[in-house]
Amino acid sequence: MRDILTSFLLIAGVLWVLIAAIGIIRLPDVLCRSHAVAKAFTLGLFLMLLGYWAYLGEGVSGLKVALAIFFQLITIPVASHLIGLLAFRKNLRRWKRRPMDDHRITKEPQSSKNV
Amino acid sequence: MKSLLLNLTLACIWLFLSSTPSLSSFFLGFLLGFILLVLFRPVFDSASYVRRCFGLVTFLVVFTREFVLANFMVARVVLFRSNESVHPNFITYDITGLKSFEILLLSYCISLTPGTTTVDISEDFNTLVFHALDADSPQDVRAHIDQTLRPAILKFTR
Amino acid sequence: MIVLTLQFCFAVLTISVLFGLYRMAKGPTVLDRILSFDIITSCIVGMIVLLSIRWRTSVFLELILIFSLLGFFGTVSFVYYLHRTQDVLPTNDEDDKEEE
Repeated sequence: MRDILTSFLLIAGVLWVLIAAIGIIRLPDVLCRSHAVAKAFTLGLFLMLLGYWAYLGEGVSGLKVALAIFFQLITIPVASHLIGLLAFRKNLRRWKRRPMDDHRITKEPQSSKNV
Repeated sequence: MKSLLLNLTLACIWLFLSSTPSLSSFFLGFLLGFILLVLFRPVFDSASYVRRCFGLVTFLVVFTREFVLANFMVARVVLFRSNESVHPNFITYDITGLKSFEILLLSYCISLTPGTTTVDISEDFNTLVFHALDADSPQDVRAHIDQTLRPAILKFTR
Repeated sequence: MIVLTLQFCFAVLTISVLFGLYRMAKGPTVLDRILSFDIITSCIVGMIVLLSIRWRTSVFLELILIFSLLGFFGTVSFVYYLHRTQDVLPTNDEDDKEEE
């Protein structure tokens, strides 16, 4: 029973990781790729660590697995956000470039965002 | 805040009382203490704490649903759509009046929910810039965040 | 049963690492390479998980924690460094001038 649960979670997680990796290859620019990393990779590793937790069962190490899941959930979106931030600040070349959709009336030019 | 401390104290007392202390018995104690706080709301002055706890639960439910939806959307874009049909763009979003913790939570949720990744914040902390994977109608993206994420977060933090 | 699952998962993770390596070799900008570095680190975390299930042990949990944090700090330090250097990436600025 436990083996079946673990296998199911592991396979699901690994398939999401594969989707993220395909996204890394296929999507056209850095920002889109960071989408794939932030979402699919987080879910994939989350499911894999959950499968590990289901395999270990309850115990002292359960807390450490919870900590690992927590770190993964925190760090992967932040890393992808940092990459997006750099691409935005440096005004990186992007796919199908259109002007930023700004709801503010006073529109500032993008190139003034350089730091 | 006082109610949270009281709840944790009750959980610890339950942990001491149980014969085999473990994580699950701690959670059981926490749950029992929470039921106690719900039942004795006027005595412990914990009405707002209980409301915020239920807000947290609704937030987690909404967030999980959005997160899974986001993953399926990304999978669809990655596997079945050509690059020509994807229109990524930057979108700004108004966050006037939110506290810094709410901004942090909102930007984290935006990073993990459908089609958006937080990119930047303006210097006066009034505007969030995020990147949308499929930004054909920016109004729709904004309205979606307005309807799902923002009320859930506000229910939990206020 | 579970051994078969683990072999399948290892195969898929290896393919993912290869994809990441492809992007690292080809990636037009530095940011692509940082992203693929991030992915490879996370894949290795997944492999450690698979190995510790295979060997029925929980001693690698610290390794998982350390590895995920190392990957994160690697990304942060790269981005911090790139913030301070100017004009290493291809930008939109030339296109902007043309449009004006």
